[in-house]
Amino acid sequence: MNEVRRSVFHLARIAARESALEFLKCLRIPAFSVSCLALPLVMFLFFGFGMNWEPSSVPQIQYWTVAASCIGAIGVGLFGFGVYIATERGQGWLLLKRVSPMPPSMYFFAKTSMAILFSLIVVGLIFCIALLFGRIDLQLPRMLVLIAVLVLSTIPFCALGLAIGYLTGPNSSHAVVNLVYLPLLFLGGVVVPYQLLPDFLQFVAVSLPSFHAIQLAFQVLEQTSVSDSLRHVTVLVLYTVASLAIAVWCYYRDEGVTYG
Amino acid sequence: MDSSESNSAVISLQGVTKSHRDVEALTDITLSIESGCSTALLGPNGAGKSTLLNLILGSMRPDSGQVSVFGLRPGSIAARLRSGAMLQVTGVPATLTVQEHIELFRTYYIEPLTFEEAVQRANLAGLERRRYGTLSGGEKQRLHFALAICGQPQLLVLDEPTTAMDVQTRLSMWEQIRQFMAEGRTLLLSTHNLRECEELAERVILLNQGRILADNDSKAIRSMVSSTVVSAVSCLDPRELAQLPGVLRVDARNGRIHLFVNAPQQTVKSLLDQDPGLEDLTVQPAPLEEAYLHLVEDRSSTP
Repeated sequence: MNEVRRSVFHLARIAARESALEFLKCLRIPAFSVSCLALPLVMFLFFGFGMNWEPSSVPQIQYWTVAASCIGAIGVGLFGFGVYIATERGQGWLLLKRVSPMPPSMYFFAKTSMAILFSLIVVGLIFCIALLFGRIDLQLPRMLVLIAVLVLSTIPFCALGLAIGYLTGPNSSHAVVNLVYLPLLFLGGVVVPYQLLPDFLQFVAVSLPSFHAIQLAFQVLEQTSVSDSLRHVTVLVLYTVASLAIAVWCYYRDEGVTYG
Repeated sequence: MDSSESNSAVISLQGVTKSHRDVEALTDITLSIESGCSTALLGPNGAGKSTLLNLILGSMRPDSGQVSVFGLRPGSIAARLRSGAMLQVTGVPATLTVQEHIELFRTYYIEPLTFEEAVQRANLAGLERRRYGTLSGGEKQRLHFALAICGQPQLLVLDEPTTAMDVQTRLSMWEQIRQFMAEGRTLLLSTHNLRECEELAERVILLNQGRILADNDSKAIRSMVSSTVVSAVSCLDPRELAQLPGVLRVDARNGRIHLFVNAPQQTVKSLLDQDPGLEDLTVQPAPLEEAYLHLVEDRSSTP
């Protein structure tokens, strides 16, 4: 029993320190921390307050609070995983981690914690601005649920980023992540409301994870039926599982590749 | 370390073969490494050194044969808890400090060195707060060394630890490795530097094209391998040259003779005695690919 307690304690210490340092590491890379914050905030201020455009039935500020939060959560997951895993694989750093006694799960746990924490910062900032300078017609409990849904919607994109990080090399990962990120935002009905897309693009939209992430958030905002929410959650889970399967396959294919 | 395992094999390979795509990197390797022994894998690029280390560290699996480390499956957490490795890593997250990196690796182990001890043994005092990205090449290598030893591993695996280091940095790295080894640990390193073998290893395993060419104590290997190539324009017959002291192999091309030797002073002295008309004499370290070519040729001529 003591043995079990000791190893649980040992794992918890690794998880805590690995996560804290992963967060610090990313925070100190301006290319990551600034761009993950800047794009959603600029979009939020420009479309939420600057423009006079009510894109859907949802009031303007509320619409852009959700949309910009979603942009942030997707970006943190994709860039935090995609770019840095590809880089760390290329440098042989991941290999050194793999031969150290760190359980591999800790590496991914730390990266996911980092993404959730970053996502919380972005979403939190957007909500603060929205509440200070605008209005969100929600009771506090529901608002907390909405924030949680938005923050956690980074997870499927962490998995997608993980797959990209394993499929691409250190030089191409940034470009590939951008090529995935922008279509997810524009075709997934995040930047432009889904209803405004032409028919054939609406067809594309419903197959993208970003569409289901933002629709899920809108359903919490508009308090619609639970069954629709379940459909969106299912699609997001399927995307997560498929991405993880690709990453695991690549992990085994990777054997010694970065290692002369 | 308890006495029951002090004489047992730390690393054992039985008939191990490993291919990368269609190329055989290792062919039917059987060897065992005893506890407390320091062993060098010597060989040119492509000899299979890194593949062998990868198999021992568990980051690759053999196509056939058995590998065990401390009697455990390589790459299992239990085996990794007892090993430390310094790989040919080109980059470590650049925005974390020396202290943060060492503290992180310390948490992986059950009974790590104290942080201060790790810093002192890797000669990193004064650099604790520097970010990895601002370190010089030699300082980075010292941090990689600190990460390898901070868990007090019983087995230390070093993959070409001093490649691309200047002479001064290399000497101090050897000193640090020797100090760490003084505590009865097991060392396995790969290198293509003969001098490094002499400095650090009691036993040398000479690898060539995925096979063990020789496996002996480092003195014996030293006499089998030529450290130096003596080159000149000479009128002597290659057969005469082969009889000179210290000459392991003679190569005549482009009007010059190249002697691969392991006792350069003696060879040069008798070369000058026998051929007073000798011209354009040069003495250089032998490239490792050529240093033991005569062993490969011997083997292929006597099947």
